[in-house]
Amino acid sequence: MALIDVRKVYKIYNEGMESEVRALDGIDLTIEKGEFTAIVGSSGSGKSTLMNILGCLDVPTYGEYYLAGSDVTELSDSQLSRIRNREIGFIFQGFNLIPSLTAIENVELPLVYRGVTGSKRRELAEEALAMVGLEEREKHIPSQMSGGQQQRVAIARAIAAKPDIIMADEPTGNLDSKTGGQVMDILRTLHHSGSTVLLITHDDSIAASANRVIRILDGRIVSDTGKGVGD
Amino acid sequence: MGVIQAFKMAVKSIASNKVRTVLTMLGIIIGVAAVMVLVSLVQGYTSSMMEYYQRQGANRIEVYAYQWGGADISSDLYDYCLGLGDLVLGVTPNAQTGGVVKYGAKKLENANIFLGSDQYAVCNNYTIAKGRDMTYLDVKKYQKVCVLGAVAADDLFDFADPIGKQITIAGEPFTVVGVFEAKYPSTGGNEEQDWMSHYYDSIVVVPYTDARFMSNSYITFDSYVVKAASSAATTEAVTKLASFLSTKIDPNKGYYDVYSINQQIEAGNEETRMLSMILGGIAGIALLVGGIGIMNIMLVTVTERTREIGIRKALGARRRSIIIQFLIESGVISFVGGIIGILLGLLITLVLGKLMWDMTIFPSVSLSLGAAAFSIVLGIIFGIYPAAKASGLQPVDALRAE
Ligand SMILES: Nc1ncnc2c1ncn2[C@@H]1O[C@H](COP(=O)(O)OP(=O)(O)OP(=O)(O)O)[C@@H](O)[C@H]1O
Ligand SMILES: [Mg+2]
Repeated sequence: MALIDVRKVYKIYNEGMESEVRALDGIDLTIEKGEFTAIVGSSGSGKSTLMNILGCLDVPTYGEYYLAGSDVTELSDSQLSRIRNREIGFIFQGFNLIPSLTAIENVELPLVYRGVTGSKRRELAEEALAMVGLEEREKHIPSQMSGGQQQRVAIARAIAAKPDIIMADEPTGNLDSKTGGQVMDILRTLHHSGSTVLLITHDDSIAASANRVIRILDGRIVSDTGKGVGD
Repeated sequence: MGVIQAFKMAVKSIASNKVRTVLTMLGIIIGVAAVMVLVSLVQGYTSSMMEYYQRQGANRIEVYAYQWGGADISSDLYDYCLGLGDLVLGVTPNAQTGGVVKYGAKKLENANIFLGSDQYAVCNNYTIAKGRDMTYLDVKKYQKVCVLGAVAADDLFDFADPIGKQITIAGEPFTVVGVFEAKYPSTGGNEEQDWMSHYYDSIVVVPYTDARFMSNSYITFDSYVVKAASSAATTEAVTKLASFLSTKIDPNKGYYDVYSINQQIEAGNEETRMLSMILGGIAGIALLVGGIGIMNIMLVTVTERTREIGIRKALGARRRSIIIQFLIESGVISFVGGIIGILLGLLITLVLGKLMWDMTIFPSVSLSLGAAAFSIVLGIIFGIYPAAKASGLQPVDALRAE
C-alpha cells in the first residue's frame, strides 16, 4: 500500500465560468513511504495546489486521495487536524508565521496542539531552531527577521515535531546557495532517518538531490523519473 | 490542547496585540462608565430634590394672599382653617423680618425672625427639642415669647439652658420658651449645607400678633402655610382655601394663590422622568458607540486573525481549540474592560455626587451589571465571530484571506 495514493485529482477554480482555471487537471500519483521526491515545474503549473491537497490543507474538486490507506475526503475536520499535526510537517512557500509570536513560540505551535508541554516542548523547539542555525534569534518576532531567517523558522516549525512526512514548498526560495545547501542537508538527514520528503522547487540542481523527480505542466504530470531512482 | 494551554495562548495574544486590546477595552469602558454616570446623575438630582421636599414636609400648602389698603387676612384664615376640622393640622403666617437678636453681650446680626401662629412648628416640620411651643394664648394675648432654632440657640447661649431667659429682638424684650430640633444639622465645610443650616436653623419664631411691637421693621403678611392631614386632604383643602380666598379678596384690589408641595413634587417627578429619558437616551447612545467601537476593532482585525487561524489549523489545531482560545481571549478582554468600566463609573459618580450635591450616590447595581453584561456579550460575540467563521474554512482558504 502506497503512503500517498492520488487518483484522477482535479482542482478547478471558477468551474464553468469564463475565468475557469484547471490548477490540477487529472493527477494520478503514488508515493511510497521513505521516498524523497521533488516536484518541479514552471510558475503557475500547479505545484503548490498539489502540495496543499497532499498536505490536507485543501480538498480536490474531483478525484480521490488515500493517505496511508484512508480516504482523506471521508475524514472529519478533527481527524484532518490530527493528521496535519502528527503526520505532516508543512513548509509553506510564504512562511506563514504568526506575526505576534516569537520565533520559538512559532516553532512550538504544532507541539502545543500535539499536547507536548513545558520543558519538553521548549527543548524540541530549541533543537529544531539549532538545526536551522537560528538559536540566536529565538526571541525575535517575524518582522524583526530577514526573509531567509523567517524561512528557516518555518522549516524549524515543520521539523520540530519530527513528523513522518515533510512537505516543503520552495524551502530554499529565499536563501543564498550556502544556507539553501544547509536546508537540503537537513531534508536529506530527515530522509535518511526514515522520513518521507516531498519538495517543490524550480531549481533542477536542487531537484537532483531527490530520488525521484516529477515534472508538472499546466496541472498535469508530464514526466516522472519513477520510484527508487538514484541514491 | 487543554483549557490551560488555550488560556495561556489567549493571554499571549492579548499581551502581544496591545493596541487591539486597549481599543476594545476602551469601547467597553466608555460604554459602561457613561451609562453608570449619567443614570446616577438623574438619581442624584431626584433624591436631592426629594430630600428638599421631605424637609419641607409632605402635604404642605402654600397660600399667598394680599389686599392693597385692606387688613391682612391672617386671623380670618386662621379661623377658617380651624373650621376645616380634621382636614388641616395647622395654619400659620409665614412672615419674616430681619433685626438684631441679643442676649447679654451675644448677638445674632442676621437672624431670620419669623412671625408665626402657635402652629408654626407643625406647618414647617419643626419639632420641639427643649421647653415648649408657642400656644394659642401666647398668640391671642400678644405674649412676648419666642422659640429659637437650634443654631440660634447655640450661638446665643452656647451650652447654657435658654429656657426662661430674656433676649431682645429688634430692641424689644422676649422670653425664650422653647428650642427646635435642628432641621439641617451642619456637617461643616460644605457651603450649601451651611447656608441651609443658617436659613432653617438660625431662626427666631415669635407670635405674629407681636408684629406691632416691631415698629421699626415693615412686615407684610401675605404668605401663609397650611398643613393638611393627608394627601387626599391636601387636594380638598387646596380647593376649599381657594374658594374661601375668592370670597375674601377682590382680584382688582389684591391677589391670592394656593398650591401644595404635593403638586410641586408631581411636577418634579415629571421633570425627573423627562431627565431620565433624555440622559438615559444619551447613555444608551454611549453604550451603542462603545459597542460599535468593539465591533469595529474586532472586524478590522478579522483578516489578520483569519490568516492566523489558517496557520493554526494547518499546524493541527482543531476547530474546538481555536474557538476556545478566541472565546477566552475576548472574554478576558471584555471582562477586564467591564470591571474597569464599573470602577471608573463608580469613581466618577461618587466624585460628581460629592461635588454637585454633597451626596454619596451609588450607581444602581442592576444597571451597572446590565451595562457591563451587554458590553461583555458584545465583545465576546465579535471576538469569536472571526474564529467561528475562519475555523470552518479549509486552511488554504483561511490563509488566502485578504
Ligand atoms: N484561489 C484561486 N483562484 C483561482 N485560481 C487560482 C487560485 N489559486 C491558484 N490558482 C491558479 O492555479 C494555478 C496553479 O497555482 P499554484 O499556486 O499551484 O502554482 P505554482 O506551481 O505553485 O506556482 P509558483 O511556482 O509560482 O508557486 C495558477 O494558475 C493560479 O493562478
Ligand atoms: Mg507555488
